[in-house]
Amino acid sequence: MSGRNAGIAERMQGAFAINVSDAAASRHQANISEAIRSVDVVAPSRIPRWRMRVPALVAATVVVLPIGAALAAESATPGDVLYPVKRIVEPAVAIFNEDIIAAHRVDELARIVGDPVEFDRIPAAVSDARDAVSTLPPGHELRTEFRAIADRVGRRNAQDRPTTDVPQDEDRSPVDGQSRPAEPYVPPAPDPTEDGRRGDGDVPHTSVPDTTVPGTTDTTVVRHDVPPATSDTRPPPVDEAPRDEPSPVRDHDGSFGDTTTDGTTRPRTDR
Amino acid sequence: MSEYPELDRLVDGIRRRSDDAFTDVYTLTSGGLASFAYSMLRDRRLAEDAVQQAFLELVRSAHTIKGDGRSLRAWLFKSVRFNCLDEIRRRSRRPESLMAEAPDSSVVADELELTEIDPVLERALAELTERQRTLIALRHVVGLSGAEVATVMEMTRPAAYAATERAERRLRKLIEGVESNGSATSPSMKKVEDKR
Repeated sequence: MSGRNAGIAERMQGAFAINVSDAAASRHQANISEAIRSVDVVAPSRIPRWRMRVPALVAATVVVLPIGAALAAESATPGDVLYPVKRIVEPAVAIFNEDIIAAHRVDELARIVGDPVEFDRIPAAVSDARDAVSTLPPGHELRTEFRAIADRVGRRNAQDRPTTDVPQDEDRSPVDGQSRPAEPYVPPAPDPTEDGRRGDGDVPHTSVPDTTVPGTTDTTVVRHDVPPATSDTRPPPVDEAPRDEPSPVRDHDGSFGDTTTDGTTRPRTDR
Repeated sequence: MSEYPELDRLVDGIRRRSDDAFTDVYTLTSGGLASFAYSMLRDRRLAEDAVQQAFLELVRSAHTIKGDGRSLRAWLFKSVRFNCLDEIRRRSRRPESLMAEAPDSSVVADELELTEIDPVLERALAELTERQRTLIALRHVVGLSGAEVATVMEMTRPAAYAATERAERRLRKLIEGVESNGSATSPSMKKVEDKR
């Protein structure tokens, strides 16, 4: 205690230094002993606090993670990391909403068709969607939607066919321009349940675009789901195809095909 | 081993809720605790109750006490401080009507043998904040070290030193002012004078 504060200490102790009276001290000690006897003597847990929280964390993870993954997978498309989760969850959701699977497949197809990057996934998506909508009753709006998308795919496929500067008996690979034997092209068949020409409710087979293996120089063109040609189906005129959409077929340099004088797009053939 | 070797030996008994250990700790610390509580409450009976309350809380929390005798002592002072602050808050909330019904203070003073406080000191202390009064009491009534004051007040050590230094300087100045003028210079001092 410094000298200048000695006065303060002396004054403060003189004013406030007290002792608990004997009566109060006896009463206090009796009350403390009573409290010691009555307190619930619970041995302190030797388990660290963080370890006591582990079960709660695990339980929360088990509950929260699957729900979060299922919700996040709702908008997944084929090829996404969460797409398998979506396929696993679907049957459970379908108990409450029978159309959900078909709705998902058609929605995925629509999104894939709109994205040129997903070009190589279109055939599988069309196949899945066709299987899914086949379970729906004739005239269902998802059938109509599927047919519209399938038509669009078919028209785009027709657009990507070689035109005047390519020999008629050959088809050129959109990848490297190498010739290969031509295959007969079959356009998508219209939905018979919608136009009344067929009433059996079957979903028509649809032509899907030729694809090549991305990132390789393999010139093999794979044709998916090409049904046999029928007499009443014809390829839609090239002029009817929408001109504002680029061809999903890309060259090696990532560009789309050349645009011809009539506005259609065809693969490059100058290599 | 801390500067309180007797308390150091009793800490283990406190953790085990030994009756003898509690009795010994009470004997060793009750005087300082009661003085500190009295400096805050100015009521001997309430000060004693605050000390008892601190020990009853220690019984409940005995297994959580860590460290040595110094830590145990700081724990008790902190508990008494909180009990006193609760009591001060209760007092401030008490309606005026109940205050009016309270017995005459001179009668209470006779019953409880209240110490007559140095009027100069009382007027000077009335000018300090609650926190400054607590710091002065811990330092000069109980005689805690700066580090112990920091623990009880839940401050850092430099902050506790600085705050205590400021409170001491202000108290010295106030005491000098009261002694030289002999009259109150501020509203709170006038209030103390009016009460007298």
